[in-house]
Amino acid sequence: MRNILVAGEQYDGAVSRATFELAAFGLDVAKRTGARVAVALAGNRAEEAAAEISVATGCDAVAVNIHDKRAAGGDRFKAALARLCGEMKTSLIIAAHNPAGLDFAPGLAVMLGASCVTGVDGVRAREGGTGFLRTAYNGKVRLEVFPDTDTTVVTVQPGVFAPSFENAGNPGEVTVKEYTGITERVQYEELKRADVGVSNLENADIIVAAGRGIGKEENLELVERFARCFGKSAVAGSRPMIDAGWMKHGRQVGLTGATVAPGLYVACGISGSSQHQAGMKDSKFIVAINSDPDAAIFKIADVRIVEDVLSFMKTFIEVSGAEKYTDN
Amino acid sequence: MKILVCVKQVPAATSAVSVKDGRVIVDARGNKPYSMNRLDENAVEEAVRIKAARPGVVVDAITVGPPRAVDVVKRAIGMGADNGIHVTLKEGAGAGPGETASLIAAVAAGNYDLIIAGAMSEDEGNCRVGQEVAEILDIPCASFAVSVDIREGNKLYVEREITGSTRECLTMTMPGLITVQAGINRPGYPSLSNVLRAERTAIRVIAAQELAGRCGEIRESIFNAELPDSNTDTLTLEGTAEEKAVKLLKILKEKHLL
Repeated sequence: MRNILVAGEQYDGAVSRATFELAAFGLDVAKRTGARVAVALAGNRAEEAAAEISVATGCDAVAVNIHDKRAAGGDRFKAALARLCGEMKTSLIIAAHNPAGLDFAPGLAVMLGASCVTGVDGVRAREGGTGFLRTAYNGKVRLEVFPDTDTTVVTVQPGVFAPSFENAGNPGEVTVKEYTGITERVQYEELKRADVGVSNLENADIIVAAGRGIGKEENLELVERFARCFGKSAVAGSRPMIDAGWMKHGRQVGLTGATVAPGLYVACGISGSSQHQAGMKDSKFIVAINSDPDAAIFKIADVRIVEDVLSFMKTFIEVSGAEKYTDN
Repeated sequence: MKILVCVKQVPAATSAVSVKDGRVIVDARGNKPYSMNRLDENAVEEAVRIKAARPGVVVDAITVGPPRAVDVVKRAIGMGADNGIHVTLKEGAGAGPGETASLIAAVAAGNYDLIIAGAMSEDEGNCRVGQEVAEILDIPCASFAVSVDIREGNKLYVEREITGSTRECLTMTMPGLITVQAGINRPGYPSLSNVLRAERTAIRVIAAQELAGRCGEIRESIFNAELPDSNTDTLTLEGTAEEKAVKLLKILKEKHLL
């Protein structure tokens, strides 16, 4: 393996947490192959950010000046990375598995004639190269993907590789690159922030979360009654609840929502996709209720209940005696 | 204006998925063992919405898949698409995202103003096809779109979801490609008249091998499939629902969680 390039993200001089995780992943692969790892950063104050990450990780860092207003990723970043890869003879490019990284990583792979593996959550050293592991079928299967080309572009799942660095304090080489003459075909206008509603999830000691398995918006009322059996609890939801407009974003648990680690997490009708698990896997005690015996959530649950979620909630309410459920 | 929507047939979410000899075995079951990928329903809905808002829009739906995949093309027409294209793969043969993108790009060539795809599929979830089709065709691309608006001068205004609470707002000049994220719209159901029309509409069928000359090399392959590690300490509650509820209550009280 020749060199490894991390396509980083930084906001006004501050490098994102995801970028540190990518650097740790890159260094781990590099250990087995003897490659050098460099982190590329673009945007406002990229030079500062490059110096920061170089000291913190021991990696080389490149501040790429592409005259782009975008906070991360984008058309110009992709074109600049392609040029950088050629100059640095890169064989592995690492981006974050999020909307910023995914916007350019697969296209970059096509540009370079490189293999592409997304959502990487593990690696395996094999004779003849490195196998990249990813999870599919809603968390039910792990696939090991093997590149058939010399160059590979991967996107790595956030929250999987711990950002710890043996060489912290020994900065690598920091360089600045200027790329001009890049045609921008997607013009950045602005970043908008949405009203997310109130979120008390991060402080809640008990969270009862609802997923697609609850069926209809009307059933949220039952979820609230069920949650009351647990005393002081917060009601949350997986992504589909927010997308359907049944809950506001502030109640979402998962990769694009809140990350929580309460004393008790009760997952009701949640299948347990990697994106959801990423937001709650560190909960101290996990109870999962789902009618699908193979739901991925059960892999991380302490208590597994295979039942229709609505009737189980009603039964539990009756049995707990905390509240009588009456049919009107 | 010509729009191409990419749709994929996926096994129902309740399908049993297992691994045998390092390969994935999907036991698609139930009265509806296969369906259209959820985000592709959003993609079709967006195309149909654009069509309804202005005259002269034609929407083609394309799928890459085995013979049974024709059902999702028909569903797209049932939802309001005008025409269907089925790039057929041999039964039992799969196509990875790189190959799928190559095939779609070969068919699309320069024929469309806008191509719409779902951001990712429910089964493999690679999040790649749309972006790769755009790159092969050398057209601008915006992924994870949650809002799309066509503006004067053949421009597309797109809001992309970056995090649950932040959106990146962009414009691009068509021809272009967007991949859509959930929340962009609420997919409608097929109408009876469109379902009947779907049955009468001749779907253009192209065998994948016919396009081989216009497709790139396969760049990566699945070496092995395995089941994820499971937490062997998981306690499965047995008995009737009531017995399980009683047991759960007991466990939670013992752990002072209740």
